[in-house]
Amino acid sequence: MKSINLSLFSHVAMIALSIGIGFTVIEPLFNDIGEMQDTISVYQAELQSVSQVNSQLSSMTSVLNSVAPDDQRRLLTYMPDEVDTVGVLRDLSIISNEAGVVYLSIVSSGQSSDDDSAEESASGLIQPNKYLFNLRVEGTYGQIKNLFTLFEQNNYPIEMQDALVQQKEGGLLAVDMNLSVYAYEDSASEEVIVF
Amino acid sequence: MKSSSDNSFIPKRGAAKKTQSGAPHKIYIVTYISYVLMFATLLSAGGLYFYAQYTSGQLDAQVSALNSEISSFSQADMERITQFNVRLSQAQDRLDNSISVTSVFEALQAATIDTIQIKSLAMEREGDNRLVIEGDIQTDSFDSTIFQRGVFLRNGTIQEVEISDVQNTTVNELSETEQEQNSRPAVTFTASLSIPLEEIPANPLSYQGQTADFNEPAPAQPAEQDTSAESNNEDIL
Repeated sequence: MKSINLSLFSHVAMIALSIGIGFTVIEPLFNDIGEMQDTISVYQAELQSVSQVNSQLSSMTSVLNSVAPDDQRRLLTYMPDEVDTVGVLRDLSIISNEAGVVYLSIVSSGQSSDDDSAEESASGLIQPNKYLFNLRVEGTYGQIKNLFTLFEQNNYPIEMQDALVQQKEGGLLAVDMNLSVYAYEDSASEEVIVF
Repeated sequence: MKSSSDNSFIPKRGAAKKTQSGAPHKIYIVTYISYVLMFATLLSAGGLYFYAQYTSGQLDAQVSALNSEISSFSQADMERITQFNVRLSQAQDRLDNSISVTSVFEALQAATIDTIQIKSLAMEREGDNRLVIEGDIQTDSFDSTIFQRGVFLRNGTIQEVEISDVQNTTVNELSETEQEQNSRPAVTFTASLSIPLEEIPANPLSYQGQTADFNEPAPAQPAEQDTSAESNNEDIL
């Protein structure tokens, strides 16, 4: 009878020990494994995102590398990093000579502080830096038209902001105009590329 | 007749009575449960331990793969592409909003009647929206003024027309011999016109093949004035 009680006690103890192991070892292990699997899922998703970004970056880099050097040079001329004001003054004088007008003065007014300069447009695009130049010329109507035509043909944009055309003696016209030239505004830190 | 087994000297044992009490049977179930539970627990614990190790290894592999993928990301390439993209967008934006002032002059030519004389013309570009033109105009009569207003209003390029400061004056001008001054009645007014930029777009493609590269070094001598352009002089002024 005594041995039977002892055996029963040991078996009950084994059951209790099993339950104890279940609560103290198995359940925490289960929880740890669950957490690790969740973390693995997160890492897998992030890995997929990063891989996708890298893949797109790689394809964009190859597209960029495929742009012809001449086209890149033209783009840099059209939207340079900085406006060389002396170079623009020289170009304006050459264009004026080419158009046949007599230029009275060409002045660089520096970078525009307009509200629309270096700010976002309605489309969210950061506007390029605007540099203003004042040009005063005299010439016939045909020469003035020719001057504006040559501005439109220039390798970089020369935009007329305002102009005052006045009649002079002898059929000549005097034009006092403000022109703008643009330079690239570096907004890489603010620009968001959506892949 | 006795069977041969009855003659055996080995004492026979009677059939054992199978007497099983209830208590040992109960102990057997508890024993069975305890053993099964104990082994299952130990096996589970061991298995889970190894599975946890395996999962941990998988996690480390994922972390390592992610770090490797992140380290393969080229920040320099990204900045290069972003810069190119922004530069291209800014250039495209300026190109889309470039206008042809020559077209403005041609539109004004087309919308100006013969008796009109434009004394001065002020043009102002309002952002990327429209071009506002204000002209001081002189004509010979109110009828011409009304007719000119109608022509401006019917013009497809000019969107808004406002005639103001209409005055009846006399103007002095030299006679053909330039010996004496003649005075004649005239009507002056100010015309304010508005042209949307999309009506006067520049068309760079039309200049292909005739583009002058003004970014080349300047010539030693300035080019002679092009007097042939005077032949194109229109009499809108």
